[in-house]
Amino acid sequence: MRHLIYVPIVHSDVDLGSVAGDARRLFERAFGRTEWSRRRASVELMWQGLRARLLAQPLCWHHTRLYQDGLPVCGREEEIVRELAAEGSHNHRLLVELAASGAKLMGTEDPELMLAEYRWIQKVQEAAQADAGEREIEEVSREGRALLGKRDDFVARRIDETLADGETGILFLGLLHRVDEIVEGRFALTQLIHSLPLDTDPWQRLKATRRDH
Amino acid sequence: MPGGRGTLSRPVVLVVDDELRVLELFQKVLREEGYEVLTAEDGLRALAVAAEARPDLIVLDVVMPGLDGMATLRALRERGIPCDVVMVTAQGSLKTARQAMVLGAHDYITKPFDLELLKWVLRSRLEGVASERSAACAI
Repeated sequence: MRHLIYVPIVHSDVDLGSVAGDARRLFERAFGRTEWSRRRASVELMWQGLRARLLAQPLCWHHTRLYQDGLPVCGREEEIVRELAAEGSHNHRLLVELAASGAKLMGTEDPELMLAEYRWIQKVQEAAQADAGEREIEEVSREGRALLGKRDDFVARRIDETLADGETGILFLGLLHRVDEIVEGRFALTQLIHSLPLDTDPWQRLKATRRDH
Repeated sequence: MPGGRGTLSRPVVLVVDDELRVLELFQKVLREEGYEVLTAEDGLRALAVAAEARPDLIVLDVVMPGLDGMATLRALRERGIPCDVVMVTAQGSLKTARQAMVLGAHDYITKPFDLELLKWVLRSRLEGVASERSAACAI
């Protein structure tokens, strides 16, 4: 039997790598600096709780594989994770800690789709800076959803192809992904949730704010 | 810290849970934190109390007999009752978390939770409410 522990997460700014600064500015512009600080603290608290719960799992780490949102299959997985951990990412620090206990770090995402995702985020930032209209926001949102679907298909396939019988996979994946629905039935699936700060999607909130006015 | 939306000067938190022991625990802990605590044992009572008292924040159990947490959240939004909502559940489910997010919940906590986390989440949410009110008053 193959066991998959699905850990829905909310990204911290450091997790976003090179676009972190722009993402923060975009969020602050829309919702203010106080809201950003609160969001950041919520996300940190979520990671502390997830770490405590994960370390309490009765797992043999040498038979555990770690799958990570945004980590491409590229041969440089460990290097990328260590870089982000050094920059302060709670998510990647936890990966380093689990890998040190014997878990195997797995490239999880299609590099081409990661590149497409990067270009899409740039488009989101441009649209936000240009104060885009409702139609443009909807188009960018639709493009984002389609891209997310392709990434999810790849991640599901990747886990299916690499997780062996008797092993446990831990998948750290953003809240909006739908890999759980794709892999249902293929693995013994459990979800590990501590707390999830839900009001963290600036696009949803931006649209809601505009609807209210 | 904000004042309640009713006549009370302390922040008003409505706790909704069908388990009496949980309600008592919340009541004790949150009163010690300086909140005015209202309780409801099911979704229908929660809607009535929320409409009357306009709490600053609602702590809402997901699994309840009758009108469950998700249905209550939906009804709150449909009736335009403006308040922050923190969902609490014993069975952390991604599907439920996503639904709660779409319906405008602000946080989603799974049991067993440590009380420090709960206090922090409530404090943080209520401070957010206070900032929004200050901003609104300044306009």
